[in-house]
Amino acid sequence: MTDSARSDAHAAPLDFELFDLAIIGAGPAGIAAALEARAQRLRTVVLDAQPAPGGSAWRNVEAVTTQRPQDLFVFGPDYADGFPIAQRFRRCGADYRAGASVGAIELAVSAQAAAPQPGVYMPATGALDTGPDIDPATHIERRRTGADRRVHYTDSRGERTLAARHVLIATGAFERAMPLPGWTLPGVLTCGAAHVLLATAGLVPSHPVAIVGSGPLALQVAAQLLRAGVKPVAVVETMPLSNSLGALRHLGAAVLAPGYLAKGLSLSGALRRAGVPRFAGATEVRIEGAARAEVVAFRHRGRTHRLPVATVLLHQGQVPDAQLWQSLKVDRYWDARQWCFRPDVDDWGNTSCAGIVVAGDGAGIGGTEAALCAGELAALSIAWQQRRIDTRERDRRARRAQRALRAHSSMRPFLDRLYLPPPASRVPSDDDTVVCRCEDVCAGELRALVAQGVRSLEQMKAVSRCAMGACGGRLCALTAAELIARATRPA
Amino acid sequence: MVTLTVDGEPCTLPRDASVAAAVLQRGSIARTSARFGNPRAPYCMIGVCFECRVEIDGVRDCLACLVLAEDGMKVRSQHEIQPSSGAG
Repeated sequence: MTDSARSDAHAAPLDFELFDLAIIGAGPAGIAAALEARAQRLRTVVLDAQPAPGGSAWRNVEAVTTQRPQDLFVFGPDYADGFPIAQRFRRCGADYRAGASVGAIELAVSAQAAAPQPGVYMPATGALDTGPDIDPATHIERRRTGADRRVHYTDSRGERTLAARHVLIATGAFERAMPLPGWTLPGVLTCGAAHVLLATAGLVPSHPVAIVGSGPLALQVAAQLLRAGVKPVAVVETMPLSNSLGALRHLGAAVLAPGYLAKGLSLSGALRRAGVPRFAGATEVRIEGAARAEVVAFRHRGRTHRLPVATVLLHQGQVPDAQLWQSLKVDRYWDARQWCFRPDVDDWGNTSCAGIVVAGDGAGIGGTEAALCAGELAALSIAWQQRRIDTRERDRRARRAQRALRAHSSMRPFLDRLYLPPPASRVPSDDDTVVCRCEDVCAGELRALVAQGVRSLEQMKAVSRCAMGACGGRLCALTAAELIARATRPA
Repeated sequence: MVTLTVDGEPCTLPRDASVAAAVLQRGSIARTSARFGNPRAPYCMIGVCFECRVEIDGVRDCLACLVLAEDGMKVRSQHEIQPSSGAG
């Protein structure tokens, strides 16, 4: 070993910790997977960016339940359900690492070479293990087997790497960008952000607050605010009437799903009783203000409304956090019902990439209950692939989750159709509206570049920096891609 | 409760709150945007949008929504127009 190599040794530890399963995300899917994986005695690590388990649905549920139980009613019964599950997770024997942000997943070279054809899966352990790998220079066992995946992450101690036979991506979803004029102004947040602030900091938004958009979470947050003593001045609903008509034909399946319709009606009832004005089918929504949000303006039934506001909460559904699985180039498809890309996974969450599994809302929006089922099924499949259980045992244990998943999924066509965001709030028609928040790129600039011949998101990134910023395109890539698609394929 | 400063102003909030919550409670902004210099404040609160990048105890570009507020932290909004990192 040369001196320069020696001085570099701290940069790349050769002895990675090796796990049977690395789960990324400690929301419903990740927790359910960890519980089942531990039941099958898989050596499991869970990496989560947040300081406490629960994901977005159950944000800070342990602390709220134990330290301010008087506030629990604000968040509703589904939220309280998270506490016992989080407690079981804490005790399940998984190596839980909070505050760990995963930056990249890397496939070992031999695993890449051994990757099966897309859509074909095989046990990833056993045959690919090559035994101890001793570094000749340091005599340290590198513990690399042919089937490892590396997970690179950052925590308070810096950058770290671990190895795992299987990686389960359970990173969930985030709220779809809603690029309205003025959406970058301070005072404009997502509905989910309001939920986080209430659950972690006990903060409510400054009055007057308007909720703009559509979707179950918008109604849930409106109801939460009411229970917390803040009455929204308006719920400005952007879903057009045609959505309701389109959703009607999925109503038959939706009534079979447990509880969802009743929940929706009860939320609507709470808003009505509190006298919160709802402007259904609002169009031309814009947020105005100099240094922060001051006015929400919109058209409703032929009239223009201008409401003074201090806070605007936006919501138009959620999209999978595709960052990690997209970086691995797993096969994906465009789901026109959910209006997003989804990884092409089998019934167990296996992707086209050997050893990489996706479960929960990160694979397509299904909600908390569906994510719990998907996480459990993914762990069963991984335990089976690692030969901890045989096929019969896997299928026996999977039956309950498969049945529940089917029941919860029967609600999706109705919800997806009812809350499909209208074209006008997906791609801004106003040229000065920012599309890419990180790099300050506006819709007019993107349209001008399309007129000059830009035909793909990759080209657009290179010439405009749109989607090249810190967020990795999570808030603008779908908008920019649709803008290009519309301009080039007007049909 | 913990107390920290945001751009020199003291701010007290519960122990489970993030630095981004402190920025919002102060009515402060996190940063000015790199190209147009427009004010930006925490937006998603779940580590996705990167709008809440602030300087914490001298370290730039911390995601304020993923950092728990701690006693004595010095939080500063980021105002200089920085050359783009090119990462991403």
